[in-house]
Amino acid sequence: METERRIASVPVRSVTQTSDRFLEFAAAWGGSERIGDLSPAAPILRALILDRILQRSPVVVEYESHRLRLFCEYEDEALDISPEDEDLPSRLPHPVGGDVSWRMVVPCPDGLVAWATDQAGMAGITGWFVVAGPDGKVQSATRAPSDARAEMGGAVEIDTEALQRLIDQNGRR
Amino acid sequence: MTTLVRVNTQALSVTHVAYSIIGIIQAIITELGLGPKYIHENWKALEDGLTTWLEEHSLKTATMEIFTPTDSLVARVDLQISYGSFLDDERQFYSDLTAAKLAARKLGRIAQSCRYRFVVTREYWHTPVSGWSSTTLLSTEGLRRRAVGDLIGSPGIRSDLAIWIR
Repeated sequence: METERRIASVPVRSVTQTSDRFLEFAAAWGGSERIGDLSPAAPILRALILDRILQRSPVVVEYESHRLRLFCEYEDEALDISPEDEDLPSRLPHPVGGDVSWRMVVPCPDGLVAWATDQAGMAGITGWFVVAGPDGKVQSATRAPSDARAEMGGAVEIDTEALQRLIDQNGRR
Repeated sequence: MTTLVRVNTQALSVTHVAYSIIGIIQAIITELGLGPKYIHENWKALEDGLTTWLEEHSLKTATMEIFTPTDSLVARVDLQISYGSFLDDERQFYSDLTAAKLAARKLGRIAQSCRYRFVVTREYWHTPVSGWSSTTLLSTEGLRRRAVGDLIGSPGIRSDLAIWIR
């Protein structure tokens, strides 16, 4: 089953309120009784809301065969969103006391994907929170939080674009 | 009724411009490969400060300075704020992230060791907001200013972007 909702963002809601609304939807469809459990995802959602990628690529909340696609609207289009467009869908029947397998897949543009993956790893939300790159491929937080912190402290950085250019150039020779 | 509409338009304008400023700064730093960590670590101060000062019309300029580890300015982005009544446009609310990203490319190659910070100028009577402290803008010597254009618009507040480059 696939359900879609469009959420009004700026100027109807602040970016923080928009991110909270996304988490309300995730809590309703996902596995958490308390929205606070999901709040470590808020900084990443705020960055994506600011970026406006969610206008064309949705956040997808997946639970078994159910998919809830959440888009974001801005500016004059946000003013046209009616309350019905934003109704919280009915809560799914989660097995009481059982393992609930759900996840929230967020689309990330190139410039944010590395930061979002690190951020998710440091916040310890890699179980249910999934960062997908611009090609739709899922990124995994392979580094432990302590490793990620060490890298930000100024270790070696690899310019992957330059590396790719070198590979391409060598391939052409 | 008129008062209610005006109050609502004012609140919408403040929300739109405050987050569009942060969005444009994020778009530029992301384009430069610097990462949005600083923005999200200072999130509450940024949103509280910008909304408070836009609401009371004390915010004059929002500036992002990009500087070397030795505090030498390498590029600067200014968002100049104008208050008024801008009701006769086709679109009430707009924010041009594409133009901001194009402007970022004009800043040239920025070393990954550079850092950035957010600085605002306000009217002397502004309300103090937690998380902000006094500072002085870094010297723009050796840089030249280039106007980019009107990138953020709303019925009550607008903002023009200018960049400082070598």
